[in-house]
Amino acid sequence: MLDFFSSMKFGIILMILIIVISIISTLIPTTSTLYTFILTLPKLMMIILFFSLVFCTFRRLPSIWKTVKQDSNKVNLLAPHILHIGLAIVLVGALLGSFFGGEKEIVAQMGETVPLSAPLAQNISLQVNGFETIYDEQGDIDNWQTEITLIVDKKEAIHGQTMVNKPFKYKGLVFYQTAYGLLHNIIIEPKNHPSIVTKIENRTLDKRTSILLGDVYLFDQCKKGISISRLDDTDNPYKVYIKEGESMDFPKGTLTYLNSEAYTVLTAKRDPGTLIVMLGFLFMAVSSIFFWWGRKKADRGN
Amino acid sequence: MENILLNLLNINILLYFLAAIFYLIYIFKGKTGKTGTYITLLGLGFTSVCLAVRWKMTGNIPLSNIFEFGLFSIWGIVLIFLITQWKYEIKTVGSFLLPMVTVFLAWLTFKQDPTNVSPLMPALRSYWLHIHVLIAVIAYGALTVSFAIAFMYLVKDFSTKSNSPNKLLQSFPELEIMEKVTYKIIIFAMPLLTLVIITGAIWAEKAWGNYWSWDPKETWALITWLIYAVYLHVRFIKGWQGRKAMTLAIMGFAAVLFTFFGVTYLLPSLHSYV
Repeated sequence: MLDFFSSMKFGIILMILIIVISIISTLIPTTSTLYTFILTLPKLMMIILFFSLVFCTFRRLPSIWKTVKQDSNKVNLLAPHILHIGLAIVLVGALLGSFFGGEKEIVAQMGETVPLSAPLAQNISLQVNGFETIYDEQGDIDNWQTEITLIVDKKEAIHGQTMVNKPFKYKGLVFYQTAYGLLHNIIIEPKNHPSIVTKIENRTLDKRTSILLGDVYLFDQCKKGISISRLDDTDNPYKVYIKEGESMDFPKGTLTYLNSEAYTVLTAKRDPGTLIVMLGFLFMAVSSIFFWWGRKKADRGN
Repeated sequence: MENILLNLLNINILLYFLAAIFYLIYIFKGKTGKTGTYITLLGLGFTSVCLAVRWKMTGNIPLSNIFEFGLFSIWGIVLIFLITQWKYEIKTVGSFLLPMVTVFLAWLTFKQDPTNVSPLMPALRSYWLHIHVLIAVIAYGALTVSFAIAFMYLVKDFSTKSNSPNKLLQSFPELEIMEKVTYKIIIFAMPLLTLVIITGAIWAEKAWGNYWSWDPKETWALITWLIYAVYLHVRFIKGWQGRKAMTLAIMGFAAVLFTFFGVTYLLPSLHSYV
């Protein structure tokens, strides 16, 4: 039984099963319940694969080690087993992360404090001090940066910044800059209706307010200020820029842009398995070197 | 600058087309193979210049959209092909590979707007992009060459076993040689594929906080890796070398193509910009 479990044939069957299930998982809509079920199958297969890899390697490694010790030109024989060990370590790390890890999405405006709940952290809160869009020399968005303070047991513990590709780390907690948004405070004064003071949350004016202006408009942020563009009219593109305090006439009324309030979206994560996964990656990378270097030596030896 | 790039690309298409013709003549007449090689080498030079011009135009290493990645892939395919040809003296592969390269470059030039320059989104402004995609370019280049040889193997094998073997196919290398070269290329590319997945995962961890999220591109990269892993295991089983293993090598390349085109155009993903 154990022989079959650690055999190459079993490994091949397992890999073919993972391939088939993974293909199916990419063809099913992510919103369906079947997708959630299908996605658990490759994970289950991975656990079986872990045991198969471990048994296979520990069964064969001693004799291979003996061969390599006798003939150093055959060092490439170690490569698949280093890869197996690396993969097994990755799977252990992933499993640890899924059992003991946790994450939370934090949506906060400037000055707001959000507590991080268990299992992520206890008695730790995150305070958002500032949010900034950073532009490059050409005026394109280079990054987004949120200034944060971590409050541990009601005391300020540490200040820092988190950016895309540069997450902020503190004692096993990692904070990622995931998204951002602007709340646009505007006044709409339709020609035949009373004026409305409103806040746009989802970048687009709602239908009722839009009709008062004559069309549906999209609000966005850029270096020139706030851009207002007409939505759903690709044949007749329309884009204007407005700054805080300015007013602008539209077909059916006037829009005054009061100000904007930025909010940031962060993901806080604790994953005790990540470092283990990275160690597994290191083994896998080392196995790559053994594949090439060892083979070159073997070719030279022949 | 845009016009220079377009002109260079047009000349490049012409060069690869000419090389394909010379390689095809080589199959029929046994001559002009060397000319095909020289023109391919010149074509590779032009592709390198196109990449340099595009780099100058955007200010970034050209690896961030489908045109740039495609152009770099062509560079990788041709480079690996020339090295393989130099090492194993198998010129006939050019007759399969160069028409593919010509069509791919023409598609990139005429269907992907090489002059379009759009800013990089923040997540892509990372040195991991360069490491991850450069390794992918070499890996996919090698796997394309392995596909061409595996395909030639199956054609010759099928013809040899039929009642009326095609004499043209005698110019193809021996089946054993093609089998061995395909294996050598895949054993070179497989560790690279591993590194592509690792570097992608490390980058995803830094940018999005998840080293693996079962995103369609990630899943298809894993599927590709597993197919080639099955190929490498299968070669050790008696009776599975040859036709069966070569069919797997072709299936692996089909997965590479789906990862590149299928996922990009059919399945929404974090990687939809590539």
